[in-house]
Amino acid sequence: MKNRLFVMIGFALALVMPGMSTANDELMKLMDDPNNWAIWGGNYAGQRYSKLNQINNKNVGDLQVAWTFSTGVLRGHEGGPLVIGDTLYVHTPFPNKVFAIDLNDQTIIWRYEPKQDPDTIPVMCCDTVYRGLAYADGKIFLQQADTHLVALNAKTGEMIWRVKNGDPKKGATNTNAPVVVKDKVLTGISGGEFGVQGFLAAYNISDGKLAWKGYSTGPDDQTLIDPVKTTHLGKPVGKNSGTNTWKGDQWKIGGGTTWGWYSYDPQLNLVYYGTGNPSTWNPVVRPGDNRWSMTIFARDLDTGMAKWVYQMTPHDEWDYDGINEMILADIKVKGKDRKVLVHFDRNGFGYTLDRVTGELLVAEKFDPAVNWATHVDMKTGRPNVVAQYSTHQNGEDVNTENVCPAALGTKDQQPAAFSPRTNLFYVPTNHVCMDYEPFEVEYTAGQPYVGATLSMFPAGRVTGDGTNNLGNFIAWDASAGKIVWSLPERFSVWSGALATAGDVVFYGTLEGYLKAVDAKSGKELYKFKTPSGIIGNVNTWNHKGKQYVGVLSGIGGWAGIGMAAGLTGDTDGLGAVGAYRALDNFTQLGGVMTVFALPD
Amino acid sequence: MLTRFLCSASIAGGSSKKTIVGFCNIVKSLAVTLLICSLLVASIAHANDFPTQARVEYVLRCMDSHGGQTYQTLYSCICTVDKIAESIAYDEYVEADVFTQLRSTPGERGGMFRDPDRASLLVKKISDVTEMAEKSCFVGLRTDTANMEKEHG
Repeated sequence: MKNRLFVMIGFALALVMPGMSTANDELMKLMDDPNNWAIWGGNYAGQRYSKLNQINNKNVGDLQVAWTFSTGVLRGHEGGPLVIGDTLYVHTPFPNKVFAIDLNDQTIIWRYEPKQDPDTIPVMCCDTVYRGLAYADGKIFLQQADTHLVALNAKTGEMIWRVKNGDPKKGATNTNAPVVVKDKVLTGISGGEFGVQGFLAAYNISDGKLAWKGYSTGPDDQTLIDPVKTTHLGKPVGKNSGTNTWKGDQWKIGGGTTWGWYSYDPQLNLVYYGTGNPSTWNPVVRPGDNRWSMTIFARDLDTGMAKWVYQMTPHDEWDYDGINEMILADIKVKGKDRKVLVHFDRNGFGYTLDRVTGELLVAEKFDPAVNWATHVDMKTGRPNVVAQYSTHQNGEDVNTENVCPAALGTKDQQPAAFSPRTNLFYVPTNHVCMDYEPFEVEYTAGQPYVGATLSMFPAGRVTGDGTNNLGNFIAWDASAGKIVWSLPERFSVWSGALATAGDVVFYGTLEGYLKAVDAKSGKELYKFKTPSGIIGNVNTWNHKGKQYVGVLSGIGGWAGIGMAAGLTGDTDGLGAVGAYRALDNFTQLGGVMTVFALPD
Repeated sequence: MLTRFLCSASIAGGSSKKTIVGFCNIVKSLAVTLLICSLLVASIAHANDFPTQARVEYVLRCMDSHGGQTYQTLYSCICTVDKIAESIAYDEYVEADVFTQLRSTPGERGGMFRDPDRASLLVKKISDVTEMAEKSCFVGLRTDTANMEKEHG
């Protein structure tokens, strides 16, 4: 009912204000209401902040498991559930099932299971993960691994339309969550390890027709870059900037894929995202800056034209994909109010940029162990690479030792959170270094195009501080570019964080703990061991006056540790424990969503 | 064999590990090695701090993989988890378990669980501790355990 009302209000507004779309108004209203969790980041800014404060830093220690839901799918469960009114929508890794769950009794309203070619699995580089759904206009948008983008009726689960976004036979797959803005649904592409030419695409939410597609590499008409109007650190990029830093036609298989998260600023009408590594991994065979891989893009939502770009890691030599989330916030930098974009890159630098102009304001290491570059030159934006750790300068078949961070970066895709109450960013990190050895490979469509071997170890082995933790969870001041506090974690933190108005910050660990810490001090206030390692994002919502916190657990090859053995019967989604009280149902196969609340 | 296991368990286990290594080396040839090392292990690792949740989960998994929920499997699985809890601190058990289960993670990510020295050390330790515990608790067929590990991997 509520949804219908929003649609009606939106419709009315659209009549009054031509040019604005109903879907957008509806979604903006849903995002403004903290009872919902209507988009991956909680809002368009990707802050992963909730105004809910029933659960706070005084009472979070009393949390209990309220209900659980088994997805029946093994493999890594990334992303998190959406909540729209009385309905929770949750997705799974390949085969990308979708469940709509009635929050009143935790029963399944509908489920959707796409038929996908299992041949998609081998071309997915890093497990068959999927990061989540999008909602708008009475539709759930599902981005399947085999690149089909599907619009489902949110009430019934029936397919409304579907469109193919890439060719898995050439290595193109999808793992990202789509994002709806106005009348368009945005999606990207994975497959940088297979020489895919990355892009961001906008499809019309009404019929799935392609509205625009902006490639990361290529001539200007493919990259939707204007040689004069598009800027890099304030300067026009010039003609064909997406081809002229590549050798020959290498840009065609240049990578720069877009498998991360997309943010949007409604005032500026700009969408923000990052591009991944250039293909191949072996830097020796692809001289040049390899633009615009490893780049932050700001594109006009309506036309797709790039307003500004910033390349963080020109000529990548370490696989530091630039795809991590872009968090939009309004904070003071050097005493001045700024509209900023904050980005924690795999390369180990935390960047603060003016999101209007693309001006670089801050670039500092968010893990002191980072050693591949000494600093970022604030004029040119280029990292000052340390020769000893340059896999290119060291050459093919030479083992470059003790590079920090490792190829998985100081931080991977798991999104950080921002609290406007503390003005701090809460960042899950890796604390891992590597030995890296590139070797020559030939490109074959649909085959991995990697060309490097590597081995990884705790950063403490390089810094010599005697520690062996593989991760940290940190609070970051994006204005000063400084770590405020840092909690050592035994393993890398691969779960997305959540900050709330209750001054609590939540995150998950690979041991399976959901942890709650104080937003100001970082003090641990609560932990609970879920059935498996957590690489999902912690989300929160309110239903009938009660605040809930939910997170998926389940990690590649390991879903349901302690639970996965001796399984019998069907492996479909189980439904909530409340509906299946028998113990043997509790031990079903697959990833589990665990939902927490305070006792009555 | 037993001596090696106990000493290596204590090496990986506590904060005073250097002392133990040194001490164990000195008395290695003596007949009392076994006894002394056992006592040391007992004093360090006697945390016995497994939460109820962890014990129940272990027992359920153990019963499932050894023929289902019978008194036979119940008793031997309870015995096993209690013995494991006596010989390793829970935090370390969890860490070892993550390394054990995540070694097969595909792609570059998995390297983090295969490559570090600590990973091999702990995987060995947990496997030794489990083997010891199961032996003294009359846990059923060894092949079942192997299958169980395979399914997780």
